[in-house]
Amino acid sequence: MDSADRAPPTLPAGTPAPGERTRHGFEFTGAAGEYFRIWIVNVALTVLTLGIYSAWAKVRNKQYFYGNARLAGGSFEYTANPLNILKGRVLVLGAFVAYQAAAVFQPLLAGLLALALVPLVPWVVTRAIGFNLRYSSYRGLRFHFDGRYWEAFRVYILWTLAIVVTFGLAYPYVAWRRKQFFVDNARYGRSPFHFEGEVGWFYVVYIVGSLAYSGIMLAVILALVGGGVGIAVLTGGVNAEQLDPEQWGEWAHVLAAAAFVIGYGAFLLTVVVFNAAVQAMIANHVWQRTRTADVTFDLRLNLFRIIWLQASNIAAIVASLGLLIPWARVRMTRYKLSCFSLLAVPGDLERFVAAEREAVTATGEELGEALDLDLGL
Amino acid sequence: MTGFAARYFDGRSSAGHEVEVHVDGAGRVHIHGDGVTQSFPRTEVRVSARLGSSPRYLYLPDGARCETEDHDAVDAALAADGGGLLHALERRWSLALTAVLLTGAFLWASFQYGLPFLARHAAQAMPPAMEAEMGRQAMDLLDRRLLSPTALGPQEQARVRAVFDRVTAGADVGQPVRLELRGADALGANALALPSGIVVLTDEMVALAGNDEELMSVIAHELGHVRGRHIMRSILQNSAAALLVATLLGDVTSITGLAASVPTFLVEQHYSRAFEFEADAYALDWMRANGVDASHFAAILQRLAAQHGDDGGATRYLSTHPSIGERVQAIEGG
Repeated sequence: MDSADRAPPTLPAGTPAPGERTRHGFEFTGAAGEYFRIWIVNVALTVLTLGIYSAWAKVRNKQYFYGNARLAGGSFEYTANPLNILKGRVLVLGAFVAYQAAAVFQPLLAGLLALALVPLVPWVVTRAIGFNLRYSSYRGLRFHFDGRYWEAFRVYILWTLAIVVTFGLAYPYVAWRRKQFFVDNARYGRSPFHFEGEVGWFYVVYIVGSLAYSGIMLAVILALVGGGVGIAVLTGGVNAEQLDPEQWGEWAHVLAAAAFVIGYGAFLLTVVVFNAAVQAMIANHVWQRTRTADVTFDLRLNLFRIIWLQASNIAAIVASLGLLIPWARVRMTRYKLSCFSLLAVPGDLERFVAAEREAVTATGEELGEALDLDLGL
Repeated sequence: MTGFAARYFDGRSSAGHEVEVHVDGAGRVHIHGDGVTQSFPRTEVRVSARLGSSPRYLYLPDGARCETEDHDAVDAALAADGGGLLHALERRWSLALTAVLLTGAFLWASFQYGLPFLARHAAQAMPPAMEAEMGRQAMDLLDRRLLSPTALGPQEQARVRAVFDRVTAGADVGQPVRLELRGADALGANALALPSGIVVLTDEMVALAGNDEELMSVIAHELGHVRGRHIMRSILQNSAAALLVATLLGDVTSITGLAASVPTFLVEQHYSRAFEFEADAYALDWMRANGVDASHFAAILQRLAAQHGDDGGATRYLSTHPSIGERVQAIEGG
């Protein structure tokens, strides 16, 4: 391969001034009502086929969200074969059952098995990312992933150990390395992505995040304890005069149960909403510092909108016993894509070139896909 | 001859071409416009399935593709099945409603009958060696965490064993049973049936029993658990229920992944309550057959309730045992 092949093709010399660039916004054109019908058919068929259909459901689901993600007059395409996903899922289920059986009979053997799986992790991770990207395309070109085993080993095994050794202090750095591993090894056609994110920003987000998280948790606990004490005082006052002890006993149980449910719910809500907020801050930074060829990206999620959407989505899903899941997903995706755009010199988007045809080997990719490794990009 | 507008991508570059697609009477697909002139036999062009209003793709044999939103024209020209079976299912609200009801009914039936049925048969088919190993591990765990050696004197132990032997003598519970006596500060008065027929009685339970008949009723209740393989069944049922809930909601990201623990928890409670009633029924049958008055069982249950502060009420859905009031009612009624 000569150097002309390797360089991003037909690029104008030099970086164009910002004024020459056009902003293309992403847009999500899916509708909640339409997606509800697709989703419920997926769920019903998955349940009725005892889970076998889940692979087809996953593909159809992804195809709906990809197809309705529009950018500059084109849509995204998800082209994975459900059969491959099914094979992977069967494999993972088999391994899981075998592991569980081993854990019951021979805990030591199970421990050794788990240890033996560790070297497989980097392989599975690279295959999983590769699978997802290879079966994603835009304007007729596929995405690709060039991540190698040893880099993945460093990022996912060695640096993960470093998190443990440093009592979590290395976590933001490792999160940054993982994004870098993902973005720097991704390609659109022949054109590689470049990541210029700053590790300092990851530290800022995670430190401010954990402080805020501790504060909110403390407030939730105080509110619950305060509420509990308040109720006890109130009902205690009533108890002395009006309620006989037997009735009071029953009320105490009701209150304890209510406090448990509210406390557990508040805890889950805080964790999930918080996580969404932190991920949004990270995603903003990652995309603002990502480019391919002369195209740069821009993501501007509003923290408060994300928190509101996430919290109200959860409330709606719980209250509707899951029936509003499609609405919640469409709503979140629409918001996220509306904040996402790219900047390109007019005509640039037309000038990407495909990589040579590659034989797509399926082993391992299926495995990774089945593990549903979602790397949040 | 039907035609529609599409965007053509050759698969080698990201350049898009506005084209017209026509299918002629001889079954050939023609693509032309914006520097593209191509034609292929109809049979070599693959059309993506219709999926809501998301774009359709025509995959051409040379790796190129056309993207269009003109669904009806595509279906008329190229897709004889009108977008496929799935699209037909996804198009109508009446079918969506049917799917909701079907899913609800199937899930209810699975939790109510399917999983318990499978668990019962799986528990019966469980190799005795596996069950023995699980029983041994459970006993070890309890000994390490919650139980201490029994403080009962030799005579007292002999008396309890004699009572135990009397109850087990006439009972066929499908596997050998063995009595283990233990002290339990943390658990208080309690009796447990572990896998492989191990029945654990705490000293506090022995002390709580006012007479041998009451002790018999408690032992008979535990034999009911052994006979029904309840512990194995609940392990199997609960893990299967957790798996089912996770499969259904797992795809839905972490939101519901976390929330899934709540329904799973309630289902588990439901199962163990059913087992308690089943064990009670077994105990009552045994007592009736052996001339022991049912009131003994009710008496010790009520004393147990007083000791543990069980008073029924709204928390009963959160408890693994049904309220003792309910059980006593069932005993007195039956």
